[in-house]
Amino acid sequence: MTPAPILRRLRTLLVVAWALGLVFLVPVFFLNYGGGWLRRLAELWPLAYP
Amino acid sequence: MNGNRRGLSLFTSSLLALLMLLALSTFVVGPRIADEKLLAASAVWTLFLTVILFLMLRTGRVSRYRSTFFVIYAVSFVIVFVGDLIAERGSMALSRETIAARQVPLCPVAIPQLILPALIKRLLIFPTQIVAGHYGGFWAVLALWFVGVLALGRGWCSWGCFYGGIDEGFAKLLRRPLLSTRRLPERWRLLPIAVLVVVVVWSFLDLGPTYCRWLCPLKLVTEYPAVDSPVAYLQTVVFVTLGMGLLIVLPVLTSKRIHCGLFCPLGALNAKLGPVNPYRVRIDPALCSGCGRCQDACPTFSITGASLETKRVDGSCTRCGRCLDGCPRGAISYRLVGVPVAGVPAGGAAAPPPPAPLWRRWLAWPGRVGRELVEARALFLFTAVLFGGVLSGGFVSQALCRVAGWLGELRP
Repeated sequence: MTPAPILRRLRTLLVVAWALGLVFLVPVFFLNYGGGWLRRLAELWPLAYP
Repeated sequence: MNGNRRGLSLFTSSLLALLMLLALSTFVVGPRIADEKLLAASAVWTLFLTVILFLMLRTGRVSRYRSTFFVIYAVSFVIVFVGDLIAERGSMALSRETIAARQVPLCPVAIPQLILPALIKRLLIFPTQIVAGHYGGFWAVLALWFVGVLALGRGWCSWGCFYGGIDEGFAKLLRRPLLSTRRLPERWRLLPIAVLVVVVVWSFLDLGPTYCRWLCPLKLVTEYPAVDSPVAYLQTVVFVTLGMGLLIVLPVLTSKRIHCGLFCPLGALNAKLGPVNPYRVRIDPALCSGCGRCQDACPTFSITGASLETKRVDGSCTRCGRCLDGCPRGAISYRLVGVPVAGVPAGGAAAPPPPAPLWRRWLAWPGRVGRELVEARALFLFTAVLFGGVLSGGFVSQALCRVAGWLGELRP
């Protein structure tokens, strides 16, 4: 197999993996929703009221 | 010719629907709901979402089912949100005290104007709580929107947004539009970007939520500052006019989602951030005859005459599926970016393979299911229904309970 089809297959594999990752990201996000990580996120970039 | 619009196999559709039922049972029905009626309403909504996912996968038609979900979602949001406001404050109007106490629930449409002040000046310019406030506070809504855009791109606007169903509902009232938008000049499609730029710059200079104060037509169905000064009176005139025009009158006349397609700054931002998401809607040049039905069907002006010539859908596409359903040749489909379509080479549709013996078809079956499970359509629709389902779950189940209560009161 020449490099071009190998690269194409690799790209396909990467995109499918990214899409599959997103399918799992949604439930993981909702499972963590309201957890302590939101507070940690807020501490990471502290905001003030004007 | 059916092109790309064939349904998935019964097995794959059922498997994905079952997975959806399990996922939604965890997130929507959940053990935290103590009220029996609410639990029953959540179960009904979960079943409904499971059935529509199955139908979308099995029939290959998307928008007719999504549209029902989306309009119910928007109506439920209005019933619950406005109901809560009236129960809490006695009216939809925001008093100066509520604003001063920063007790205003953050709306996702307000997000674009908050980003620059938060990044550069470290200020939250919307009168809401930073962490735990009404409906979660700033960080919760920001994270929710970010996950939505990552998972669906501008699909947020047709699967996750709780306002989108309002102008979609009105746009679907008439079978045929009274006003054709086919000749709408191309420059009108830049209007949401112009609104976005003006709002972002103006809010940064003013350090206040200028879009919410002056432009937002959605105040018609949420909350608005109490009319207690000449400025507040002027703001009210502006939002009522824009709301009636963009959410009701123009969608009814044109059968298009005018607010979402030509005005919403969050939609414009989602369109610009959309490419981080791997899903696209593609027109297959080998199957497209250029009839223009997709252009008529597209509710957000994302398919134009130029798109028909180049066979490319604009980045403002909300992945609603109207063009997929409307194409008589099945030339439009969901795709994963950069992934070639099996069986349809660039030169034209592939010839059908000769019929294989039965034993061979049985051996090939696990491979076929595997391929269907990682098809763009299956991955996208599963993610979109899950995201929309979880977001809508609370609103719809509460709205169902309230409507059932009202009907109960009507009974003698």
